[in-house]
Amino acid sequence: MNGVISGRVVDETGALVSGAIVAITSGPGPVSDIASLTDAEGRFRRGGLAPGSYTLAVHKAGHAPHIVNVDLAAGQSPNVEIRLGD
Amino acid sequence: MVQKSGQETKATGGQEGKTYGYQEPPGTEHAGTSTAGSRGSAGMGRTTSSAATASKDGHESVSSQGTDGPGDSEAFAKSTAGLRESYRLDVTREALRKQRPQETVKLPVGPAIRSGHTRDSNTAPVRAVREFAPAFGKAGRSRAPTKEVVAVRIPDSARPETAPALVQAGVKLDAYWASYKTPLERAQERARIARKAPLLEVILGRDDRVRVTNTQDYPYRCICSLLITAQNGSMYVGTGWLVGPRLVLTAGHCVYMADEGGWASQIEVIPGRDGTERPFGSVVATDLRSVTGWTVDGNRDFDYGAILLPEGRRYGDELGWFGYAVRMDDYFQGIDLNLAGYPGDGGPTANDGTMWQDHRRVKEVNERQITYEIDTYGGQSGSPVWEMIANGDRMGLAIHTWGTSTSNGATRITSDVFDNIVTWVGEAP
Repeated sequence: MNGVISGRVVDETGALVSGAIVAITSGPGPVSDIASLTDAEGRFRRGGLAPGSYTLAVHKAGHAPHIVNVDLAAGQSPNVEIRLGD
Repeated sequence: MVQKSGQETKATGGQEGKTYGYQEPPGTEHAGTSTAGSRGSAGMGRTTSSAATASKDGHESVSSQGTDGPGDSEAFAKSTAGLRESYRLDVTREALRKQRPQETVKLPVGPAIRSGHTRDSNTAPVRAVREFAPAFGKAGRSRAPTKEVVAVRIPDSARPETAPALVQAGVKLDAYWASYKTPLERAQERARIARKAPLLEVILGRDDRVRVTNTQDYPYRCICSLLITAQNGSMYVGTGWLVGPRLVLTAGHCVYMADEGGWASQIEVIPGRDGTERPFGSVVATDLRSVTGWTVDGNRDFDYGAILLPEGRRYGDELGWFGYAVRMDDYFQGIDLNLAGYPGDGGPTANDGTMWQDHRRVKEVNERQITYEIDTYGGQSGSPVWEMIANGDRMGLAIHTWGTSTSNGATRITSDVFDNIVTWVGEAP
């Protein structure tokens, strides 16, 4: 069963970051080479993912790329907050 | 093979099974003259594009300019003589096969049979389906029935989760590593995976991507940055490429996302984007196409789709478009593949919305997909995988769709894919 990883991107001050790119850079198998874009409220979502461990990379101009690992269990939909600059 | 706009050529020789001519727009200058920014003037000359040159094995040098002299053409013709002969034999076999009675598919009672390549759209979802006999087409492949031949139409109300099953987690390496790498390299790769090292999975080894700065030149101006708004409001970035006056080819998962509500609600198409620069503006499109193999089954083998541009935005007339072709398996072994698109990381220099290109030889070819070690990144889904042939034509051979830690891959333009592209181009004349 496939799952969804969703979340929110904020900056060092906790302000919402829109227009950030969230890409999967490693996963348990082939992943579609599409990338998510955060909306005006800093939210992103990525569906159609098989259970397993994923590495997300967040890119936003003016910030260093940020890497975060997320474990996606079957039937779960983890919601993560990614703080740039951490 | 030089072809003019709109001519479909069933190959009578050469490597290609089917080709559709590329189109440089009117006014393109040639033979070493600069074309930067040239567009929209008169004439339909063609031969060498100014934006890039082809090596003998087909890869493009992004920044160089020049011409392909007759010597290159002769060498190319000579080097492919064997392939041409193979192709002629294949065409003969295909003709003989067609003369024999086709094997009949036994239809089940009730639900109709459909092909994974049955066209689907957001404006007129497929309801009627067609029957067909098992055959792969004209690329010299096995005649064995393929899986989708016996697939049964599933009612929309009962659509399954459509993303394909993925390999389970674990430190398991692609078979490639067993054949081509040393034990030490295999151990290092396993260790890297186990550590979950933040090595970008689709950058394979050294990052060889080269930034394309001449995005206003052919063929790069035909490559489009896509800003995708899913049905549920989620936003994504991808890549597409012009294959007709109003048709942009891309990945199926860029137009239809099962877990995000299905068809995208809109896609902004930005040809030739270079960071914040949009040299040709942009257009928002809502008319989308794919095939049931993707929209219903979520089968990665059918991960391709298209965007029909609004009638008032005929980008192809202004910018030109890529040709596209069906190639035999063997043909892929001898060429370099080019891939350019819009990676979400902004490339090694982290410039948002910039175009990057890499080229490399194919790694594996199977019936519906090709794999390669060309460096890509999230956001390049839908990118063209093309060859530049000796006379300067660009032929798209596959649509980039996915990546893993050991290789990246694309949906191959097979005969069925080719036919659907032609149909979609016809829907957006």
